[in-house]
Amino acid sequence: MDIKESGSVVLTAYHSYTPSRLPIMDQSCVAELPAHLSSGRRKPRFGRMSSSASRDVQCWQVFNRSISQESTENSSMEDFWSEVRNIKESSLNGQEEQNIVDVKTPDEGELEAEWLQEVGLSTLVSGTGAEDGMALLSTLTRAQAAAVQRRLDTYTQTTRKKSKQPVRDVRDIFGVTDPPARIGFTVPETPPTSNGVQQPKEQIRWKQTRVNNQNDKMEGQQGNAEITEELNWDIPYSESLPASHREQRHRHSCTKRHGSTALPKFTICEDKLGLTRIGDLSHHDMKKIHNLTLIEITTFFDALGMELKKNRILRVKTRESGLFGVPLTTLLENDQKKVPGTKVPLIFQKLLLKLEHSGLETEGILRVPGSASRVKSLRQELEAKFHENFDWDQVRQNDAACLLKMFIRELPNSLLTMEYLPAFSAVQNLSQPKLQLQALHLLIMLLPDPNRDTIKAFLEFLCKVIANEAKNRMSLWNVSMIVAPNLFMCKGKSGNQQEAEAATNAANIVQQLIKYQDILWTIPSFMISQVRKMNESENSGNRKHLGLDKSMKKILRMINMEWERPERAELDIPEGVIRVYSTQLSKVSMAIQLDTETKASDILSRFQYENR
Amino acid sequence: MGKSCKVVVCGLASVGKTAILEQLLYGNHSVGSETNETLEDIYVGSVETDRGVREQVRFYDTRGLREGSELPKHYYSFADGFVLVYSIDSRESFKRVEALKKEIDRSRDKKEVTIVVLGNKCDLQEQRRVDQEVAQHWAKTEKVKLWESSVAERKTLIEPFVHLASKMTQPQSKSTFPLSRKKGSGSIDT
Repeated sequence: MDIKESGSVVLTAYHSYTPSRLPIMDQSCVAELPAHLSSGRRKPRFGRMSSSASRDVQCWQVFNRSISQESTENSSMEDFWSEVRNIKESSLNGQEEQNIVDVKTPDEGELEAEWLQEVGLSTLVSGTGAEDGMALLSTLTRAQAAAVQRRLDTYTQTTRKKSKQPVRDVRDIFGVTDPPARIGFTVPETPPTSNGVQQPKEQIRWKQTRVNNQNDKMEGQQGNAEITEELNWDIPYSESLPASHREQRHRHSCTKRHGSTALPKFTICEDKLGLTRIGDLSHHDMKKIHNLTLIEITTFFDALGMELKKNRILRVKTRESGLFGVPLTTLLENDQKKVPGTKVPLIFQKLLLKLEHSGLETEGILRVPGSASRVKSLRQELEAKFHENFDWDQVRQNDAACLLKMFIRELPNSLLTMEYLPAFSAVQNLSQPKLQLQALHLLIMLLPDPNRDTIKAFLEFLCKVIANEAKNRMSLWNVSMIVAPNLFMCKGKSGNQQEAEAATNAANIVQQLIKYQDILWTIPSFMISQVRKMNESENSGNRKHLGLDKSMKKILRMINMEWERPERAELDIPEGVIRVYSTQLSKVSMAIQLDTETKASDILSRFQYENR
Repeated sequence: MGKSCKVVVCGLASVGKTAILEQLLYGNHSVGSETNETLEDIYVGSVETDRGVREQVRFYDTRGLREGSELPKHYYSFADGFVLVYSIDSRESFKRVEALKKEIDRSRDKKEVTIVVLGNKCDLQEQRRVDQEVAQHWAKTEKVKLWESSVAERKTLIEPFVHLASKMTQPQSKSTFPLSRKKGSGSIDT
């Protein structure tokens, strides 16, 4: 609510001021603030101008964005625009590929049906055998269930209207459950169980700052030290929302540290079961994660009063072979024939490798464009003989960087996927860095595997670039600004004001992606436990469906008992030893001593004698 | 699956029990490769008997015994057969095999078990500590079959295991109501 209102404020305020003037205006507006703080106040400029009289605290926070570069202050977005110019020029030379983003509004109900399908609950729509969905549904939290329910409601209503045919009622699916939990800002009664431990700490800090600068009205939100926030992963993001909204009142969202990034530090509390990185899970489980994420992010956005915008894409004919302008999946399919198990397109890997070897210390790497003609011929050469014997030594760093950016730009479906590009942009409208991070996290989970893996490789490279900042003079912000237009360029869309807004947004997102990649690429434990529950209930469901009569079961039990007795007998196995069974392999069982270093893959590899 | 014979492979630590099994089942053990201490692994393999039938056998690869440690008692109660492994370059390991044989006789009750003894690492002739004659003599008095084997040569492993599988699945010994026999006379006749 607050967000929405102030969201509209941004735009109106924005129209009346040119970007370059804004910092100055803002300065005047916060002139009474202590100097060291005022620099930190630059961010909310847009909102401030329109509502400067009201000094709305909420508003303030909404626009308290995390860009902060005092040195590059005035020229701060210049890099961005020059990069955009470069891109435009290069695309004039090259053949511009068409990418039609279809934004037709679908029929009412159609969206919901599609959503339910994608979430893996298509059975609810088709109305046949809801068993597959049951496992998924049973693991949902109340808020998540409510989100599903809402969509199903809309869907049922519209189909009723359309065809008068009775459709499955929600109550059949959820059984007699409590009324849907309404999440929103209106329910502050429930004490936040998750943050209960953290809260007192926060309050103490707040009091201290208040003592420090009593004149300042805003001091409540502005701690001046860097804050390390712990992300709680035990409960879904959407569940912890009301709590964090409450805290918003007395917690400032982001602070600035001299000369470095303004992004607050986040840490993950180590789960006792360990952290699960993306890629640790099987394809099957990943699919479940995807479904859950979609539900979770919808719930999350619902709770924040935002819409998860999705572009719908008309299939465009794309090239089926080659390197540039080929969909990631196609590229990977081709590459996997050459190198099995490839997750990131070979050409992309090669470009990154080349840059890592030769470009990390080049001043202005990524920013300085290569020679257009050289790049053009290199590109043709690459297309022709990348897989044979392309001579990488002849490629200069800047040209390689150019090719890399070109590759990203020309992906038919964008690295962040066309569907979710608007959602990525919308992340910046969230008021707190923590919320932004959570939303980004969910979005990353939502990406298709090839995209996610490729972005990860790219971000790791960017990290290395930034690590060499002393030599190449590319800071986190600089890199983000260069990368942003390559990731977020929407063709054919113009309108200067919006573009400028989008530019900062985009650069901010890239910055966060780079900075938080370790967190973003870890699967939150609440999802893991949901998947675990799903698998469990699926298994028990399967057993039931075997439809065995009693005698059969009895026999089975006896067989099992005979089978297991010898193994059971030795309960004297030492601590930390697990017994792993694998009925398909000829090594059917293995007792393994676990230690703190043991990983699932180690255990797997010990079973792989046969394939050695 | 049904009932498959259970064979316990035991002997002193690092005489090559796991190596023997892996070489036998997969044929891909390379001599001198890094060893991992086994806790207890179970393999399922099918061995062709001398009657030309393939029999499924569960091999229990046990933890190598050390000084003072005994083979856990439950192995004696469920095993249909034993592979006792020693290494020809270690007297101690042979002594252990002798002790194991005694223990098996003591605890197997009336159950019939087949025992084969393998003197492993016979490629290390120059480090030999266990005389072949002496070993064979002992085997004869105990009425068990003894082979010297080397993991480097898979051939040397085949015969003992075929013998083992054949003995265990011999029709008359599969009787559900085993007649009580004189102690020690059951399984071995060569």
